Amino acid sequence: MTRFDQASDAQLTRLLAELERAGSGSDELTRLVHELQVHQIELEQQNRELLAVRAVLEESRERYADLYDFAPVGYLSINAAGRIQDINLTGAKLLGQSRDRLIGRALSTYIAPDDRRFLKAHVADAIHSQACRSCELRLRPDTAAIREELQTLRLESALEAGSTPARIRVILSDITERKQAEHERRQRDIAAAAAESRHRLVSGLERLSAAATAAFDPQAVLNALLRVVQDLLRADRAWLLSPCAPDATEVHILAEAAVPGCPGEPLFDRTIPMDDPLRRLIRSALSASDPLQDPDPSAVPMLGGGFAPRSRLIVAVCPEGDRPSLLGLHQCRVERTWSEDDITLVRALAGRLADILDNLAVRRALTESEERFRATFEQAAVGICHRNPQGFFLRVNRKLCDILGYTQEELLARTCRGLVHPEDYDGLMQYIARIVEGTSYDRDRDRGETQSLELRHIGKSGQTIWCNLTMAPVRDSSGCLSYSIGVIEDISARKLLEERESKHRHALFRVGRISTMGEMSSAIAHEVAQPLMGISTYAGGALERLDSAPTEVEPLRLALREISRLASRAGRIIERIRDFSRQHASTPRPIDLEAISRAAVGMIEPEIRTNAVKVEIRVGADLPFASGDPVEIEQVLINLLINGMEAMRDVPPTFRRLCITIERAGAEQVRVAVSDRGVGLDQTDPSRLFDPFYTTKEGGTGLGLSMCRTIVDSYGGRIWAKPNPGGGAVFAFTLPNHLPVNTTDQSPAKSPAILADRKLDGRPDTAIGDPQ
Amino acid sequence: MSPKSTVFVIDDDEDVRQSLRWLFESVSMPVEVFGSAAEFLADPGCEGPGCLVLDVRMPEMDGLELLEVLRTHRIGLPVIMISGHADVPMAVKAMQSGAVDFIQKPVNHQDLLQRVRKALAADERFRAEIGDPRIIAERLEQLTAKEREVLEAIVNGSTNKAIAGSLNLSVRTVETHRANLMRKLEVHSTADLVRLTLACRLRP
Repeated sequence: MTRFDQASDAQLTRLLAELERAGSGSDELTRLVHELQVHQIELEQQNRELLAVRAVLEESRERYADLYDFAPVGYLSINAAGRIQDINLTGAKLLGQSRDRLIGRALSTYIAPDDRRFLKAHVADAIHSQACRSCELRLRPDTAAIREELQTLRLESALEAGSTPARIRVILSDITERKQAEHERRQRDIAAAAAESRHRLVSGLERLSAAATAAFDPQAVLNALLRVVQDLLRADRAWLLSPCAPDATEVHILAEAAVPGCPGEPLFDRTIPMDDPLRRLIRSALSASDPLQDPDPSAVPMLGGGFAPRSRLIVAVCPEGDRPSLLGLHQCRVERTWSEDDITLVRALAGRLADILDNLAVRRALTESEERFRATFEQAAVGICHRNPQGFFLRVNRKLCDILGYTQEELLARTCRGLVHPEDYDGLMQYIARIVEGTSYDRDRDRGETQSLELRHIGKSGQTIWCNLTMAPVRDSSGCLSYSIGVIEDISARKLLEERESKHRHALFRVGRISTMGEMSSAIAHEVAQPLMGISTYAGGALERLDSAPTEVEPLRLALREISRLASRAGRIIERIRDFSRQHASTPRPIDLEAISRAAVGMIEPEIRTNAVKVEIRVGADLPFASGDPVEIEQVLINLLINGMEAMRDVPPTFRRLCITIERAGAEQVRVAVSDRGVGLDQTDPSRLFDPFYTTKEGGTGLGLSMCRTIVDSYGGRIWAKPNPGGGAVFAFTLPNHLPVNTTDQSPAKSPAILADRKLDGRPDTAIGDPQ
Repeated sequence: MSPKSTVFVIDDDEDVRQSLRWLFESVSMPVEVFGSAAEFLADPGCEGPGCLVLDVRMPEMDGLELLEVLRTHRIGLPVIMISGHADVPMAVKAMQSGAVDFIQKPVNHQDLLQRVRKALAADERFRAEIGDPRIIAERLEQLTAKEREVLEAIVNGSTNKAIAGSLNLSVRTVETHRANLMRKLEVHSTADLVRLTLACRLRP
């Protein structure tokens, strides 16, 4: 029985006692009592019901208390100041303290200092909003001693309805693990995104490099590159124009790639005139370090193929060794925000593209040079070969095959030996050795000359082909001979002409020689022979008559008169000749003896070559002009050279050397000496050497040296002969220096009377007729 | 023989010409001098008998050219050529053209006279034994090519049969040719025929 029951019983009993005291049970009272008894029963009933409910409630309360205390989440109530009013066991456990120590303490004590302000805000928020609010807070580190990371709690708070002072119910849950997992997932996502971006970049660059090497043709490479760029960035169109220079008057689209159905016309290979928007675009692209995003989309619609793209990305591609180009990317259908990743990728691609363009420029230059070389090599009008140091051909061109009559394969399988005339082979080897040695070649090159060799090749059908060979060595970086280049020119036709010319010249020369001396002597002989014949015949007849009729004097007188007349006729002829030679002397002029020597050598070059004589001209320093007639002095030199050459006829070819030495002789004269290695002067009478008609040569006229003396004497010079110390003879003559005497308008020093009309065939002056 | 053998001198040089005339007159040889080949050819006596003394070097027509002309005119005189200077090729050519002798200036007069005498004797002998060289030449020209071949073979001593074999003819044909050529040359025996032919070979 409860207190309530006892009180109501007591009240009831008191009421009943009053009633007994106040009267005997009247009806009213009885009824009242009865009513009271009914009420009492009802009450008792109610009380029983209430007890039952109470039991149920108590049971429920017990259960809820357990639920509260052992709930998986923490429950607590805090007041507006944040002090804990009530907390369940789970909550206490989460906060790491026993429940009784927690009551009355501020919740913030257990929260990480950094997060305390959030708690405060959260509480205020919960009070003011009167709605459920949640937040995540980290616990104070030492409360979670076991764990390494800070424990994170989730607070869901709501104001307790109608509570005064205000109480806030808070649900605490531990979300540390979820947080952890979330963090890890985020980390993974970041890592994955970075990896993806990296992959995109690397694979993009790889694809670009692959495209750069996939084709050889630079245009194909450019197209492939643009396709890669366009594909990597998922752009609708990519283009590359050049030059990216604001001062250009027009630009050219080098390459283009577009998705199928990209709006606008194709741009490839179009030339766009430079205008202000384009110039601005180029300027800003050149100055910007990053790709330009959507620079004035309406500008330069040409670059969109006449169609304004929605989004654009422009970057300058600047190779080191070539003019910069401009790379553009268009998004045509939709607007696009270019991500950081895109920008990075484009920047990287532009860098790589620049490298590739550099390579392409180099390759293009190489290709062009290679093509030029090949064309030059193959189409050359002369034969060209590359020959390795072992003597094999590395390459031969078509013309060389044509010249020699072999196919390329046949030539590549041969060496020079089978292709060169046996007599010329040694000469060729010497020539090659000299070229490979390099000294003579360099010297000649310094002088702007190319040394070449004339030799005979043997064609496939066995014919002799005169060729002019010029070789040059090609060395590797260490200076060793890699191979030599030979240029071979078919000079058969020229040789034929030359031979003809040489014969012609030979004939002319002989005629000339005869006409100047031989002819004269022949004419003299004939002229003088006639009266001599008459004299002899008259004398013969007279003798006959003396034999048969010695007494008849008169006819003899006639004969003697005739003889006398004929003798004076002969005398007159001789007188006439002497007059003629006196008339012949011409006035001296300044002459360059070196030039005249060359001209003389040039005149008899065919003979020099036929006789395989080596001619050398040595000129002393500071040579003045000599005084004489160029034609006559040349004639003197020709005579001396021919004599020298003829004197060496029986000497082995290697010793056949003629040397012309020109030098000063004292202050006033120039000396010219022609030395040979011939038979010498032993068989001659030195005192008669220069006399007319004195000769030791078979068929000689005996007039050559005599004429030389006449000429040299006439200019005040002297001519003499002496033995050559090394064998042979030296014929030397002097001529006086030319002294500019009068004031003619022509400066003799500047225009010496050299033989300008004589060609020297451009041959090297030091080695004519070198017998190779 | 009716006309006396004459030395015909052709030389463009008057002095030489006159001196030669003097020389030949000194030994009592009949001599005629001409300044040029044309002058000589125009002379009625140019067919001989006698011999020619020529200078190789003459203006207008030189000695070698004159020899050619003589041959076409069938003037079969022996020729002695005088050359100014030794020239073997010219001598050979002169010999081939039919000059019998070649002499070089300056001329030894005895040498010249001796050669002239020899030439005159040869000319006289020919005329005596064979006949007028001009007529003989005319007769020889009448021969056909075949007859000439047969004549050559006869002179070389071949029999008719051998000739027929080598010329691929019948013996009868050879005999006909032989009869014809003997008739044309007016000889009556093989000996005469050979003599005539050999004598002609020595003449221009």
